[in-house]
Amino acid sequence: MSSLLESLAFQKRDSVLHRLDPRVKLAYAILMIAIAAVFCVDPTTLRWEWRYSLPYIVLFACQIPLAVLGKVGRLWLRTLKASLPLALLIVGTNLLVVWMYGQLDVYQLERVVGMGFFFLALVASFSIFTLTTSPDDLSLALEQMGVPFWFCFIFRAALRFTPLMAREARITIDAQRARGLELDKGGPIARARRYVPILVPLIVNAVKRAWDMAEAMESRAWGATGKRMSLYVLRLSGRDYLALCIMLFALIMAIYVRMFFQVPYLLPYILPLLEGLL
Amino acid sequence: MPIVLEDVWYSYPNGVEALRGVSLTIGDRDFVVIMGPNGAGKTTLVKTFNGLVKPTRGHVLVDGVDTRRATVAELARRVGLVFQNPDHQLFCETVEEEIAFALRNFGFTEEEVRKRVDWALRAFGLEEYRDTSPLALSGGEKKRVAIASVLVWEPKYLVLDEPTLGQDYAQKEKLRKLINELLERASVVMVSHDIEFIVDFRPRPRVVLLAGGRVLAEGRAEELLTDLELLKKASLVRPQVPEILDCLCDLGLKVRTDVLDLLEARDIILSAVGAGR
Repeated sequence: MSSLLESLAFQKRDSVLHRLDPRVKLAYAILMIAIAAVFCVDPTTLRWEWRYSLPYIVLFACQIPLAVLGKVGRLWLRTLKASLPLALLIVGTNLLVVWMYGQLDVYQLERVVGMGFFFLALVASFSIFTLTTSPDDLSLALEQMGVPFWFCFIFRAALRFTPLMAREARITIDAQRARGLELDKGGPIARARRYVPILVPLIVNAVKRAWDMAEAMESRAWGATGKRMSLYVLRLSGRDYLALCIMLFALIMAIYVRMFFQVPYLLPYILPLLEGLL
Repeated sequence: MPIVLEDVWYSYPNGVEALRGVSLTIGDRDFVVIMGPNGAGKTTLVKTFNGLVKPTRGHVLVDGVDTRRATVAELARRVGLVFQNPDHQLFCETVEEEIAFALRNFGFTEEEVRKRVDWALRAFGLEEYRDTSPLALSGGEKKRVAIASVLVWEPKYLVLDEPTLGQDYAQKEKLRKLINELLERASVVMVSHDIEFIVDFRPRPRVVLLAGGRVLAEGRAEELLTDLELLKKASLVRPQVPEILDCLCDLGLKVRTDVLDLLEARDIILSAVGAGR
């Protein structure tokens, strides 16, 4: 979990994605959810349904060139590696439910695999967004979009403290292991109990840090005036408009494909091929 | 059997190369101080001793056991590592339980746990805090609890990461006394920036200067901690005694500057002044 949190942290690089306006990147992250949702909604009944896996696999694959373009490929892969157990848990749990209460066939399998890729595609796009957007830029973007400053500040602080918490978790685990704590020993309940020596210092330190921060902020006249000035003002450039146009086109194409084309099933074609190969 | 590091390299998952070909031996009842600038790899280096960090290249042998082939818990029984910040490890409801935590992990009998906890509380002047929450203590007291909670199982090798951080003079002197006592039956490795604390030890420790993940120099404190060029490379400030002797040299007094002992410096100055008259 700590490596997942760490790999979501902003990485300072000189890339096209880093130079994009944070609002555009925020729009991109929301757009990915929107496109994924388009393929989850039945166009005739407008009901939420899981059926295919191909759209999410394509959506996931689209993130690969973006991660390379943003020069964050290695950390992006780490995010995916760290989120893979969660994706497998989603797939596993759903398979179990289908197996217990329904009929497990190739279409159900496709549906469940689709859920896994839906999750991975969203993690992949959100990871690109967080890896290439600094919390300060994001906070500035939200402020300029009219979001109250106190909210932006909380948001920024939360993002900034996430990698710090991950680092502290790692140090705490090391410190307790150095005192003979074996986290991997015993059954699930015993293992869960062994995490108490990790969680207590982590929570205590988080509360202490929040308290210290509040005091430091108050000492520097936090909230003294409602009218805040900003040193930096964000302006959209030609590059940003181009990115927005591409994103809008992608959304329109997704809706068009969903409404006028039959999305093909993948596994009923792939599985016989695999069987043939084996 | 000592701790032997043979050409140890270590890279963090983010690609940062923390150790670059470190070779080092910590003998029985050895006293070693590891010094160097921030980011030199000091903490990473000591984490290789108990297997928390497994080298990407090279070997770390603890009493002949390759750390790659043993669990941290197995190695921790021999190598006690006290972390820099006690806030990263204190979690029990009372100081007594905190000190007993590792003993129970290692499977000591309850009678032995009680005996050892009593000893540790006495040794660190923590008896009055026995039933207090460790989280309610001051920074210096927390540090003492953290050290006591490791010393209590009497590891063969004790590794202290910045033990004097946040300690007042009296507590530092207590710690010095305790380390001197410990040296009669264990090896002590200390990571420290506190140069004055180190030079006041008798006998003085062996010093290892680390910079950029490499051993810059290793040797007697008298040689290394009076070498201005070397200390600059390791981002360390020269101790006060050689600094004063150097100032006297600048004033024309012919004195040696490779001295750390205050009384020895006094004799050198007196004889130099006497010779000048």
